Amino acid sequence: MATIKFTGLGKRFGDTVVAEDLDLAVADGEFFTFLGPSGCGKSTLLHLVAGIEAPSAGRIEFDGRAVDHLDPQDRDVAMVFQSYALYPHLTVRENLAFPLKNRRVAARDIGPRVEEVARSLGLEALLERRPGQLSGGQRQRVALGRALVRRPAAFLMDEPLSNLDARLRVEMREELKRLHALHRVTTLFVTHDQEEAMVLSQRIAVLKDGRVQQCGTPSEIYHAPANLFVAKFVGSPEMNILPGERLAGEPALARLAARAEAPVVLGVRPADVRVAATPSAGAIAAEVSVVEPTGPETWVVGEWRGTRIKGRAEPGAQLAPGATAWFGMPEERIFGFDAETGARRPLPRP
Amino acid sequence: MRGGAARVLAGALVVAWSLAPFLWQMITSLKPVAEIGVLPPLLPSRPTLEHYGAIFAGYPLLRIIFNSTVVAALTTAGATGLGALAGFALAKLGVRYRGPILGGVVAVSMLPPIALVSPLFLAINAAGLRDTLAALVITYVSFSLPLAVWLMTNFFRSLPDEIYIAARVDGCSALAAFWKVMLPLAAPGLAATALLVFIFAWNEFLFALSFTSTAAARTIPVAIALFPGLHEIPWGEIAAASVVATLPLVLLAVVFQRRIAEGLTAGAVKG
Repeated sequence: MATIKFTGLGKRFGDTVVAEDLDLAVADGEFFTFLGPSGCGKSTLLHLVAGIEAPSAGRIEFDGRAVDHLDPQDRDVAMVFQSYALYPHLTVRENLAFPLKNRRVAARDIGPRVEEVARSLGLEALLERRPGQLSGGQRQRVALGRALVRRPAAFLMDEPLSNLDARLRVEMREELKRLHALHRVTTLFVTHDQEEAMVLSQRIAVLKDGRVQQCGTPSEIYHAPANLFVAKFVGSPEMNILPGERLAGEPALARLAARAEAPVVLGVRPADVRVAATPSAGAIAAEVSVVEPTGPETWVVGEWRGTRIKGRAEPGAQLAPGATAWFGMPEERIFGFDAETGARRPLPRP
Repeated sequence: MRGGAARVLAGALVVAWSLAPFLWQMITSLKPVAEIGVLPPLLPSRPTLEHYGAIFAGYPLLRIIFNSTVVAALTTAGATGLGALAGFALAKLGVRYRGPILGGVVAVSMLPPIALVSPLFLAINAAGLRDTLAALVITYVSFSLPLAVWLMTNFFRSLPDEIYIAARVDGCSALAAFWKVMLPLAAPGLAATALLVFIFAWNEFLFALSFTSTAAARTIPVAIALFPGLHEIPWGEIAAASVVATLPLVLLAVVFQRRIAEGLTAGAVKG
């Protein structure tokens, strides 16, 4: 187990910037997630840590020791891939034993360790099969087992759940959390799924264009987003954005926006918007365009001055497309973002 | 059903087209001398093995088959071994200037062999390798390398990068990852490449004719062309020798076909 530290880390391929001036410290035993849209270079960050790619600038340290000169086989990290990347010509047992054999673990110790990992992941019955004969979920377990069997300094997980179907993904998410709680191995996790990141991580770094937009606990990221990108990327359904120039007709919202020091757009999460069939103080009127019942919640999408706004229907509210509904939002749940830069602007009480 | 019949007919035509020369050789090799070169009869009236007896008796055909086997086997081992290493590096190790290198490999293979016979003959003579198997092996390895490199590069490129990365992270050096993981997965490609190189080396005529002078290093194609006849061309013996020379290739193709068809990468990644 190890701490991992990036100092001024940069990586570019030709003109494409994958990471720039990245400073981060991941604590020993921490579950740390890089969250960002597809193609933002998250996987490359893991390759830098694993030693598959060399950084263009800066440095990586494990436990305070620079590892940049070390080959992948000497870094003592284990990786789990979205595609599983099992060795198709080897049986499950041989796949699990492979990292141990390469590290010259004594043959009499390999057997018991493989058995132990197989047992903890429910793979005992599959040990003699080859990857081609396994289901997606089973392959994912073998891939996890191959990483776990070695007790490495760090786990690097590259979208490990993205190829699973929705039900299995939730199941494996729990499994991952359980395994991390059990083994406390430093884990760098990469995903584009904000919910996965929120559920699993102790801290999250939200990435865009090779730069960290915000780094914090899931709660900080959700409740105090640093900018518009983070606010829209984290949280589902996506945050409503109310452009400043359309607020003129809504005195309450206009007053709120005026508290900021610069022109702002307002943002409010659909989960914080209550939609009612009758007017109330401060609520804005919008024409209902779509009603989405999900069981526990009913989401209502409205058209407000050419802007889409989404909220939660009040229990019992009778709302149908074409009708007018009132979207009410508590002042303290509304965020202000700089109209130019997108950075969050506080809306202090007068 | 008419489409099916047309397909069968087309298949039969292709088979007939490909097999006819070989069948012709076989028929000729079994005909008594008097019937060779006359039609009818199409089939020998009295099949005979006298030509087969003749080529093995009083003629070093066994030695020549041995020569061909050694040359083809060593060429195959050399060219596929070097080709696999080069292909792996070009496909997976992020080699700089990969495009120009592959382009160059193709470019050098475009030179017509006839243009190179004289300088190569001088070089081999100077090295004291004339009329040796080594001369042929060295020449054949270099001439089949472009094909081997090109084919193996493509086979390795078709394997997912993640498997290579997984092997490195799991404690393999680049060479160990090649040996323990990538090469077994590229086995179908390796078999295909080996087969093509073997056929090339087995059939090659020009260099073999130029660089050898006695049965010590002569290979089958040259031996067949230079078959000694007293007063006339011994068509029966030539046909028999051709059949004998072709059989190992047919056998190899049958054996390797299975290997090539094996989908070994199934289950490596999702899909």
